Amino acid sequence: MTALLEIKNLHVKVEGEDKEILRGFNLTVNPGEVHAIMGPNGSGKSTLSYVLAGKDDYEITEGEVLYKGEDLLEMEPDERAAAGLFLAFQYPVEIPGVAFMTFLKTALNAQRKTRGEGELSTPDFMRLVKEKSTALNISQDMLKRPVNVGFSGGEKKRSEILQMALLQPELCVMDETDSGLDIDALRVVSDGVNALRDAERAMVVITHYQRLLNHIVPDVVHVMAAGRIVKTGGKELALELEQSGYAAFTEAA
Amino acid sequence: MPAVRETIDQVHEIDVDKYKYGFFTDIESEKAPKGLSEDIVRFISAKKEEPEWMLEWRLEAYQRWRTMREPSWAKVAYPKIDFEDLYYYAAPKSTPAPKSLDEVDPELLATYEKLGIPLKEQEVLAGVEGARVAVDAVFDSVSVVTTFREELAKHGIIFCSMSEAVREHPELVRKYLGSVVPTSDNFYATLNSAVFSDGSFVYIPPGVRCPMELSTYFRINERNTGQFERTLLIADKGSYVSYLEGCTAPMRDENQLHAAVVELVAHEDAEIKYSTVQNWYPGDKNGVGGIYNFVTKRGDCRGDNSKISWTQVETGSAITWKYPSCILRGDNSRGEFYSIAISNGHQQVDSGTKMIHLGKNTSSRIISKGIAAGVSENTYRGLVSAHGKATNARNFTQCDSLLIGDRCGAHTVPYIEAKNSSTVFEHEATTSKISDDQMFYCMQRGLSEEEAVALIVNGFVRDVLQHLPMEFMVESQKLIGISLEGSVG
Amino acid sequence: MSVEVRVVQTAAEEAVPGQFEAVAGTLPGSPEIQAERRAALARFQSEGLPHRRVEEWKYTDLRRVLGAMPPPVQPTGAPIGPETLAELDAWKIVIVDGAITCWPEALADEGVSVTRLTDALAGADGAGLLEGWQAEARSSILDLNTAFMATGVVIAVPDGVHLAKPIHVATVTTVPEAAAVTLRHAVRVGANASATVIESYEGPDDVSYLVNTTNKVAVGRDSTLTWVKIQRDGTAATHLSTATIDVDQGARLTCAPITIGAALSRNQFAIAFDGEHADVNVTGVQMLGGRQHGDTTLFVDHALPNGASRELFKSVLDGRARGVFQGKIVVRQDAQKVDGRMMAQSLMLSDQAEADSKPELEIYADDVQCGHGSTSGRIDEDLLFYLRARGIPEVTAKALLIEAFIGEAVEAIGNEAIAEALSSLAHDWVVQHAGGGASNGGADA
Repeated sequence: MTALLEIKNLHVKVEGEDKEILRGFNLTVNPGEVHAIMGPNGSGKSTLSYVLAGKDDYEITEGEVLYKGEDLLEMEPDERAAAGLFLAFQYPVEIPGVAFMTFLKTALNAQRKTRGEGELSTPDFMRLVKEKSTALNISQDMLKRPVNVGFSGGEKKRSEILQMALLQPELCVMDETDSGLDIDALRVVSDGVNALRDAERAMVVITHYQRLLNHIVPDVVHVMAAGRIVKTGGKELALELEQSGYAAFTEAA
Repeated sequence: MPAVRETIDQVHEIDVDKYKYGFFTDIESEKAPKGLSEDIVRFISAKKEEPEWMLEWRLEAYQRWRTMREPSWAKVAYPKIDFEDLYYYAAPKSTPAPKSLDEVDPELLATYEKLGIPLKEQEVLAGVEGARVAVDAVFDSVSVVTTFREELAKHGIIFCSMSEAVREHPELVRKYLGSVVPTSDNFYATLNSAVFSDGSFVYIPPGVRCPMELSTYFRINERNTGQFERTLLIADKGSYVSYLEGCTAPMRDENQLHAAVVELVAHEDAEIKYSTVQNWYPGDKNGVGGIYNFVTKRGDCRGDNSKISWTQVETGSAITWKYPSCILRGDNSRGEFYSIAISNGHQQVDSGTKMIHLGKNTSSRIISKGIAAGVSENTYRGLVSAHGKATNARNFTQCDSLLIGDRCGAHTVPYIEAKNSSTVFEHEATTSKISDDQMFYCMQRGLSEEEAVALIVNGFVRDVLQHLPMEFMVESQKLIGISLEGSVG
Repeated sequence: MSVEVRVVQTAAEEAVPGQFEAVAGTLPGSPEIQAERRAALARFQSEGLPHRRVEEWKYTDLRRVLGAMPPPVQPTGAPIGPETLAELDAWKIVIVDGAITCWPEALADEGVSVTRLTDALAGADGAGLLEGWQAEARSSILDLNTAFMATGVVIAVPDGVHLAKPIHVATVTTVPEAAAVTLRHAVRVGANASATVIESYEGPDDVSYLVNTTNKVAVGRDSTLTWVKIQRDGTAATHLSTATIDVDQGARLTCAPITIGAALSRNQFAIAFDGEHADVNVTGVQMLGGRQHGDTTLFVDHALPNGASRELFKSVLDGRARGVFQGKIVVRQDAQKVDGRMMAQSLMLSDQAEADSKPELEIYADDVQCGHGSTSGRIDEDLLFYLRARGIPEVTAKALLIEAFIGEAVEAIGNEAIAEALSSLAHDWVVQHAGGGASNGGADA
């Protein structure tokens, strides 16, 4: 079986700066697996998610990232998305003037087109959005607004999961999806994520706290510190961390 | 809120329509005859025992000035100045340069006392040990007191009058004079180049952080005397200097012209902070008299990573025409302009800045607070421009105007010119009055109307005040209270 | 305005008197009007073309850039309709090369009167077209227009009349070589009335024709006027436009200048509040590429209390284009409780483009809420990344963002059909221009 995602000895720094943020990061994710990456602030978690999605501003100095066996780093951000990689942003940007529905439809059809699939008709698209949004408790009013504009923190996160549900990616990278969510919203979001779990789809859940992992139960838990993975274990590792804190790992790194 | 309390006290102390600093110092002067000619330029140069190259420089400027016309674009109105009816040179009674304060004319010292300067400068002048502000006091065009020279000299810092610099450091003066504000720059700067009387010269050597705030007091003291100060400040590589300039003037019933030029040069990694409190005589309640303040101030961020910051509190003068500017030539250089301009009575202010982005990754920030009261006119005029090669230029501008009363005017005239796509310019301006709700709230807590205005205005200008050195901040808060006196009720 | 002794005339200035004498006999109007034409010509000759030393023309130096003055057009009246807003359901008036070719006779049934300029100038009403121009609308370009004005439409909406369909005055130029089209329009809306008037301009690329168009607009008490001006002149054309607009008590004006075409264009609007509680909404767009130069200069004069004005101006600049926006809000003494907000935003698609913005406030009353803002920059990289991370290709993502940027101004017009038509024009433009990299100078026309 080919791994879905293989990160080998990845070294990354911010463009124009000297400090390395990822310092020999390794990770292999197979289809159907849910990996949690936990770590303290500043350990490089968000950098990892941006590098996977292809944001500029970072310089890869060493290492490689293979996605379905192909060089991910050579692909444009939209090509990665079309290839099935989805990033749920920690801070989804507001895009004034671009209607949410227009955005969703453009994104979905662009991906379908790149994959050689036909465009979805407007009625089919509307039906699909209605179905997915109801499950996530997303109101029609939210759908009428411009992308993320005026959304509360919780609404922004639900909007991310709605996009994930619509686009049906193969690899979901979720960056601090639990931040800013109250307990009810956390449940709605987690249910949305769990509904997407299947034997083919893999997930990388990046989080600072263990509480999200009560809802989205991972197969593997990694502890990240100072730009690399310092410990890997089962779901019980998260509980252990909750008890002992990150200090021990930070020192080890 | 001790500062506010102080403002209020100050307001109470002062009789309406009596300019606090309006008094006359009786010192014998030596004057050149009225009017401007080549002979007068030669006279000034000879009087100052200048070398031939300096005279040539002045004469060239004079010839050019003859061909120039007064600028008319500013939003100010005044009777035409008869440049033939002004004196272009006046020096205090000629005495050898004093070796210590004991040798200084007691009248001069008494003048400083009357000014009520609450600053360390007074201690310096009184000879108090440990006071660490160097004062190069300019009294009617010629430097008569210079202190702390020796301590500064230890660091290799040169802080002296322009006249002395021309004699003692000709290589530096020749290299830098006119290199930021060329003799051809504008009508008043060219006039200044021809007839400049004196001013301050500062040179900070590479890597030196000037150990004290450098300070100069300007005063205008002679009837119908044009005051043409020339200041040149050079911060060599990696150096830092903070310079304070403050002005007061005695009451006069005739308008007085002031056309100063200030040039700043910041080399690589150098930083210059230049603060001004300007409180010249603004004219009486009928708009008679007051200083015409036509100043050219410009800083050149010549080296990479250099920084120039202008902070000004403008409360005086009948007319202010002044745009302290930054040429952001070096890559990553930064310019700042923080301004409070208060106009009351018949005052007219047309002031602002120019931020010229030439280097890469240059940034600038402009915070301007204009307060208009009485029948005054208060205009912010500013240029922000990024040239084609100034990639990633950044500017943020915030201009707020406050109107007190319904017979004054507050205007905002920005020129924003972006010549490449990587520039990010943001400009915001607002005009409003002090809200009735704020006034009511303060008065319900027991403040009088005037106290409430002083309090709220001090809050309005806070963002700028905090960029002033501490002593200036205190003086400025007082000035704000004084300047707005009589504006309500 | 600075007064300068002018010695040398430019070729364009020199050509004018001769051109005038050549057509003087054919220009419409009573003897009084003919006298006004000569007076205007004399003013033009003494003042010359506006140049950079005239503060209001600082960024658009016509003396320098207007190389030649095309001769007055010979009306052909070719039977051709406008491409611009062709689909829009409107009362159409079409002016082809200075000749009116389509006239909405049935408008009279709606109670609206439309008169040809030639008839208006011959009647007692003619002088009204020349009087009452605000100082801020006056310039030697207006004088030039007064001297040569040959064609135009006077639209009068009487009291109480609400016109449902817009009136579309389409100016189509077809000349094969340089010629000048000089138009004078007027729009008068009575009390408690409403109307929508659209002006559009289009013509051939690569012909250096000139359009000098003026409009005198009055919005009566408690009336509503939406006035949209869409300029799509050819790539070598010069388009000069001046309007003076008076807004009466309780009236609502929406004014939408849209600039897409012409090598060189200048829109000058002077809007004055003649009554209290009036509401003015200016919402403009310019989309320029290549070496186009577009200048929109706006004066809003709050002469009376309790007025509100909103100005929103969006520029999208590609290639080596230069977009100028000057906007001045004046609040006169005693014009208390005025609410004036102006925002000018430029989006730069190329490194060689230039955005010049001069938003001014001149305030003489204290109890007001006035402000302006100005921003310029390129497409926000974070927004672009977000869209691309959802699989939207870069060019599509850029187009989406550019259209969203313009969309805010188009929607502020408040007319769905017009907004839709403009969005489609904007879309066509964006499709042509979004392809260039955000950081490199898009090669363009």
